[in-house]
Amino acid sequence: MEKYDVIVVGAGHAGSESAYISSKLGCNTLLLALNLDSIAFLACNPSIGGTSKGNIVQEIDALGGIMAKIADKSILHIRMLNEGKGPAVQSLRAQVDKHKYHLFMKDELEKQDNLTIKQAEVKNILVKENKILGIETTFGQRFYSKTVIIATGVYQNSAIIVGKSISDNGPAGFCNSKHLSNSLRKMGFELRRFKTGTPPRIDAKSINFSCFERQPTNLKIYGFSAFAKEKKYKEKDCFLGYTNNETKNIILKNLNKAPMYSGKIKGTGARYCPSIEDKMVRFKDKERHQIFLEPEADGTCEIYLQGLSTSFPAEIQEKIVRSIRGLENAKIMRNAYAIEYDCIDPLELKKTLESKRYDNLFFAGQINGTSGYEEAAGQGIVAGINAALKVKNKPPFILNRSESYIGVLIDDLVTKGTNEPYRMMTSRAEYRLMLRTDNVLERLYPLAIKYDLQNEENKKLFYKREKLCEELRRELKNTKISASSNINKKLEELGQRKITQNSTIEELIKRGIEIEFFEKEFKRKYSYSVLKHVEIEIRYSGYIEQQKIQIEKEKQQENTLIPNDFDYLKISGLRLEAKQKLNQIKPITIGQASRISGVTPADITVLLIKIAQRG
Amino acid sequence: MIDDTIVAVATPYGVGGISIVRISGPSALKIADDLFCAKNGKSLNKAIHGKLNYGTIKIGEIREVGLAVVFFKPKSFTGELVVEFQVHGGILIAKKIVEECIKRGARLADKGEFSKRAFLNGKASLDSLEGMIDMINAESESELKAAFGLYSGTLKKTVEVIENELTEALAGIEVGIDYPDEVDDLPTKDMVMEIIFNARGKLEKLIETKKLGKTIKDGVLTLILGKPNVGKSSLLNAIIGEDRAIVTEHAGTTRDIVKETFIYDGIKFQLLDTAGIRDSKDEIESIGINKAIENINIADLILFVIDSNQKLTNEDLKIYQQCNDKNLILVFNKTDKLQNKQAGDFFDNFNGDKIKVSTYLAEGIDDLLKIMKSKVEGKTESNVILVNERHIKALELAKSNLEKIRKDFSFDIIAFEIKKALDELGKISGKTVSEEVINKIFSKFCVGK
Repeated sequence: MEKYDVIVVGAGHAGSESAYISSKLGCNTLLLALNLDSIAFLACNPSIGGTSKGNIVQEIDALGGIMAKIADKSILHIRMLNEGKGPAVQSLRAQVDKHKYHLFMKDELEKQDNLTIKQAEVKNILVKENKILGIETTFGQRFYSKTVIIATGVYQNSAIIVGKSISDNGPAGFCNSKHLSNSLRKMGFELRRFKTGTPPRIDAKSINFSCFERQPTNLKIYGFSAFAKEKKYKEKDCFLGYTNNETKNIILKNLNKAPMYSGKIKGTGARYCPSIEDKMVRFKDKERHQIFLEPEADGTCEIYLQGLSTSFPAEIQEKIVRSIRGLENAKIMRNAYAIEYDCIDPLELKKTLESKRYDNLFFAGQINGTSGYEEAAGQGIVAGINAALKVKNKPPFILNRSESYIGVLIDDLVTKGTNEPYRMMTSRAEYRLMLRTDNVLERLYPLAIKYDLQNEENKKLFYKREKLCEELRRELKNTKISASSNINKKLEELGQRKITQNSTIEELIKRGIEIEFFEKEFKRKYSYSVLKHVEIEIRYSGYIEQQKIQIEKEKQQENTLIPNDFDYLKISGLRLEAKQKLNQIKPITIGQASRISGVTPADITVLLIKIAQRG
Repeated sequence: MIDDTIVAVATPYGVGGISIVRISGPSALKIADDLFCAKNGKSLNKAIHGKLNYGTIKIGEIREVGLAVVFFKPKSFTGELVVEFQVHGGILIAKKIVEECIKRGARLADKGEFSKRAFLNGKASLDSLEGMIDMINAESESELKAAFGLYSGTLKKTVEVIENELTEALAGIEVGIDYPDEVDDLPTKDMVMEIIFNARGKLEKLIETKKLGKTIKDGVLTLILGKPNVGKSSLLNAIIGEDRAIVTEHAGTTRDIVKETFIYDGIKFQLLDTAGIRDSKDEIESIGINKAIENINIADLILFVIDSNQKLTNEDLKIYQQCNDKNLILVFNKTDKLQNKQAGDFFDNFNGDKIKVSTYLAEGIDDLLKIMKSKVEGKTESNVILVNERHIKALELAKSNLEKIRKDFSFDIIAFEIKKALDELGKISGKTVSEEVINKIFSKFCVGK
């Protein structure tokens, strides 16, 4: 009988990350995939990152995960989003080669010590009372383990919908996971039905690219990984185009054929991820919608049509595509489809992503009601680390809202729950000014070192960076610049008062001059990322201070623990809605309780009084 | 904490023919049933929610006729089990009933404790509760109106309008940040700055009403001004009808400022009798004079008193010059005595509000009060009047956050300041910002893959 420390069910973006980190932490890990040819498969858009998602990728990297590393090897196009909107909201977004991404991930996982990879479909989770024993495959094989991580994503009892056709299948022609839903239901989990979709892929040879606006890659950026030193990728362009009146007419005329509107689709879709028919109905007044042409991979003609997700019948899909200027002769290689799948209610989970009902059973990724590769991977690494810590009998690993987007993601999921596929956005983070791309290492490396998630080489690089930042800060503080006409011209441009006396570089940066302006003053050469990090810290110091005060306030609430035997239903002062929500979620702290929707400040006052009474 | 039963007289002391005793808490019914004997012989345990029950209440050996009403949990004022007794005969009987309840295990309620329980039981929001407390403590009608405005949510509605505009601006910024490629109809920085500017203006207007709120709460600050011995203190006494300030025949006896508050026809006035203004060498008196001059600047209304049988002096004119641009009533006192022509000319030629009175005969005082009311009436009315310190502070902080925003700031910082302003406004409206913004984003903008 084989016995593992960790079994990961599903080898998508969550599962790969879980298996990678738990094996890295020395746990004997079994990774099960429905199909080994779909490990880390990019089922929807061939891109990694985006606003706040790019930050998650970099956070995973700082915590010793693998997504950034694989993405960097397969980039086709990369740029920094929101460059003009302030450093606190900038994120990286990359187009990646979806073939390479899968192959590099598979290769990296295969090279990993302590990791066994196997193709199998899981039929049952083996349980004794509230403890997990292992799993059973559809071939009747049983594998035993101390912990199990379920990361089956959109493959969970999924259905593919195109027009009237509904098929019992997984994404892109891969098979789905048919049996696990029953096992989960038998264990008492309530399953919900969510929906998402993907646009058509068309043949590049049939596109008239001259009708589109070219969007070149940013050649200065190397990738997501912190210490990436060289560019490892081949560049390809993206293109921008628009829908028009004809597109709109075709869609509105054929609405009765759209499964979304004929009642065929029952799953809950995300507001931020609407199909083109949804957009046309909800935003009737809008003249046009943007369409991006994105390369799927190097060595294929397939082009992803971002913005045109739909579940219309195939012949109408063709009409819609061909109504767009430049796509008049376009050939659809793969049709767009909607996909429905089972997921659990994330309110079932602790902040470690462990089930509240079953010890040692973890859930990560889209099965928890999220959407997106990055959100899945972020959960994957947290579930993987916590499963490993559980095996080693060590205290859990929990990320705070004030130190990472992953912390925001998980806290939102397990505290507020979600009624639609959850996508990360920068506006979900109340401490956004702290969760920047330039300080991701400063935020998370100390934790990574504490939990032994990074190798010696990376740790050394981080310590070196810390030292350099310190030196640079000192230099900026001590170097005085004379009030030259050059400086004053710059200040005038920025709408600032002129200087008459010598000023330190630090003061001038505070007033808005970019650090590159002074580069020749430094005694030594700093890396671009060190320069930018220190510059942003100086320029934003006032706001960072304010956020720190907010965080400190919040921490007081976070430090007020709620006894876990609190019977909310019996507390007379609470309103009924609050009683039910609190009883369901069982928050650990007052801070968490206050974020539950439906719990008012008055309810919190009552809780505080009750806690005080118990001493 | 909410496991005990409290009792108190719920009607104001000494007012009205009926007193209400309110008992709230788990043993309310048990205590009340023990005291009450219904005419139809039924126990209060079988009473119908909110219906009046006629009967007698045991007070020692006495049987007092009265009514009992049972409000079952949670459909009562406090959200707990509540019984109310309605009895005749003013405060004494009510007090006795309270004593009887205490004997049976209830505890005398602290001030505002019924409201506090209503809040803790989720029956009242913080701001409506604040309004309720202000209402309970209101002394004049206009004060009551201001408090009622709060209670009925007028302030909340006004704040929500500002909130909505800012939330929309923020949603525009946020959607641009979170979906940088997908939306092409985003608000420009100029549009955002205009919304911020408008919101600031609205906040400013709202904050200005705090002065009015203070006037309503403390009373219309009315300054009695005039040179020594023109009868300022007698005027004060005549208005409030009791000997309060020291009145003697010697000039300059009122050395400090004497304050009196009274209510006339629903408006609260705070009357200030000042030391007669003149160049004094007496040290104590000159302190009083300085105070009087200081008060001219903060007064809502000035009663400028001259003695009708004395020649108008330079002193009178000097004082008049100090305050002639203020809200002023000329009071021509001592009309019971022979009148001086020169002073009479001044009176006749005076263009503003004026009145002849005799404080000695108490003549003209009623008319003076009417003029006083007309001078401030309308000014104590506004849709929303800020009276609550907590609200004033929140609005001022919100305004100052918006004032910090400059056009050359990047959107991440502009959003940060707007959010801080919204957090402050949320302290009044009770809204949480981020959820609102996210909902706005999806309802207003078209985004997706």
